[in-house]
Amino acid sequence: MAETAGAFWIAHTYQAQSAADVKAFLVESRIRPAWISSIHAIGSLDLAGYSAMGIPAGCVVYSWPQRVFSGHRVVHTAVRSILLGETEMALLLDSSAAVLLASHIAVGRHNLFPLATFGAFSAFNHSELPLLEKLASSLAVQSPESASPNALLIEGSSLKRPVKKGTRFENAAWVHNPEPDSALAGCCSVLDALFTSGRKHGLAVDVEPGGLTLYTSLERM
Amino acid sequence: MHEYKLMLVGFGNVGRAFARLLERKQETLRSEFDFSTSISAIATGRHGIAVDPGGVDWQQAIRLVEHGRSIDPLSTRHGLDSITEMIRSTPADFLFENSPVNHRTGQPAINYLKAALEMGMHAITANKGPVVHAYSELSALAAKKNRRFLFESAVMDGAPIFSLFRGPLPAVELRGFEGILNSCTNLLIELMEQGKTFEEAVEYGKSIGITETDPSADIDGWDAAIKVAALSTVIMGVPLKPDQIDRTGIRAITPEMIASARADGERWKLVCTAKRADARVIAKVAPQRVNQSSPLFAINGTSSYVQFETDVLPGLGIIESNPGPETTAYGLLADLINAVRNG
Repeated sequence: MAETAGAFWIAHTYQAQSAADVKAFLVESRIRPAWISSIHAIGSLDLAGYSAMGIPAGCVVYSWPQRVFSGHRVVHTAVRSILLGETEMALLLDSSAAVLLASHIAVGRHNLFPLATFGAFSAFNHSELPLLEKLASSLAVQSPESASPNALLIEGSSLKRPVKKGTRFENAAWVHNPEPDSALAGCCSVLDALFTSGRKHGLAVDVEPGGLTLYTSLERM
Repeated sequence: MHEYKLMLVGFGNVGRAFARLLERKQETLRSEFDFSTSISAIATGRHGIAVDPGGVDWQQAIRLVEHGRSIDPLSTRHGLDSITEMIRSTPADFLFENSPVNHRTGQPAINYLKAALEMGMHAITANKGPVVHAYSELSALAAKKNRRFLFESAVMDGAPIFSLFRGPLPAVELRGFEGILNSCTNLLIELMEQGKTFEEAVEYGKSIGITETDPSADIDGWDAAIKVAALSTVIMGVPLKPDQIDRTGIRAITPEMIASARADGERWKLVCTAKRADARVIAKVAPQRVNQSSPLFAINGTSSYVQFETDVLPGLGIIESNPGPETTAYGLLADLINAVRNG
C-alpha cells in the first residue's frame, strides 16, 4: 500500500462566530463548500446557514456538545476519520475558531498547500504519574520525532511554566491561547507560534476535569 | 499492485451506484491505495446471474437491468442454481451484499454473507437485516476466518456511525439515542405540511423514487425499527429485534394534526428512541410533535439525524443531509478501503 496516507491541516481562522464568517474563511482559503465532506461543530450549529452556503448533500454534520469535554476529542475524531478514508475534507468549528483538515487525496486533487500535519493525537490518564512524565512517555511511543516540541500549550492543568530543565519540554516556548475554552483555538495558537518562530513541532495538551489528558501534536510543513 | 475480485449480490439502485462509483474511483484506488478492483460476479433478484472471473461487463449489466432484461447472457458460466452456489463456486475476495432487507429474519442475506466468509471473502453489506439478526454469528465467523464483516452503510448511509464507536469514541458507554432514522417518512410528513394528503404524499414519493412500490416498511415504522435494533445490537451491545420495539408508523397522522402542530409552532416527526435500563434497552419508534428547541425540528426532506447520549458526552448529534444511493455506495467503498487496510 502507498505510504502517503495522512491528514493535513489546511487553514484556520479565529473568526467563526457565524456561517457568514465561515463562508468568508472558505473564500479566503480558496476552498469550495462542495469539497467539504464532513462538518464537526462544537456548540450551537446554524444548519440552515451552512446549507445555504452550498455544503453538498451527503455531507455528514457532527454536532458536539459544548464545554463538557476537551475539543481535542473532536480533532482526533476528524483526523481518524480522514485516516480511515471516511472523509476527505473536514471543517471543524466552535465559536472561537474554524479549522480545515484534508486527506492526502484532497490535497492532491484540489492542489492545496497544507500548513501542518499531525505527529500524534492521543489520550491517557495521568493519575499515576506526573503529567509531563506521562506525556513524554506517551509521545515517545506515538511519535518519537515530535517528542521534544518547540511550542507547548497545556490547558486544564495547574502546571505552569517554566518547565523543568532536563525534560523533553525544556526548550518549548509556552503558548498562550486567547480563547482558553476552545481547544481548536489552542491548536491554532500552537501552529501560529510555530510559524512565528520558524520551528517545526508543536504540542497542544488539554486535561479534562476527570483527569483524562488529550493531546494533539502538530508538525509545521 | 493487487487486484481484488468483487462479487455483487443485489444490483438495485445501490448496487449499480456502487459499480459506477468503483469505476470513477479506480485511479484513486490505484494511486493512493495501491489496489484495483474487478467485478467477477453479479447476482440479481429478478434479472439473473452473470459470472466471469475475467471481469463481468458491468456497464452492459446496468443497461440490461435498467431495461428490465436478464444479465445471464453476460455470464461465462451457466447452470448455476442459486446465488449461494454462485458464491461457493466463484473465486472472489469480497462479497458486497445489497439485496432487499428482510425485517423479520434477515434472510437470505445472512446465508449469502455466511457463505462468503466461509469461502474466505470479506463480507460487506448495506443491509440491516443481517446486522440485526446475525451480528454475533457473522462477526465471530469473520474473526475466525481472519476476514472483515462490515456494514457501515446499513444505518444513515455514508455517515460513519459504527466506526465512530469502534475508533474515535471507544470505551464510551452509550446510554441511549434519539433521532430521525427513516428519511422517507420525514419527506412524506413534510409533503403533508405543504398541503398534500397522506395518499398524495405517498404517490409523489413513489413518482420521485423515494418511496417503494410497497411503502409499508417505511410508513409502518419497520425500517426505522430495524435501524434502532441495529444500533442497539452493535453499539449498545444489547441485541434487539424489530418486533421487540414499540412501533407506531405515520398512517394515523392527518392534515388536521399537522395544522394543529403548526399552529403551536411544532412539527410532527417519526422519532426513534432507545434508552438503556439496566441490562435492557427500551426502544420506541413513534410519531411525536417536536418544538423549535429540538434538533429534530430542523431536519428536512430526506435528511437523517441521530443524537447519542454517552457517559462522557451528553449529546453528540450527527446529521446526514439528503443522502441517495451514491451516499450509500460511498459507505460501501469506505468499508472496502477499510478492509483492505486492516484486513
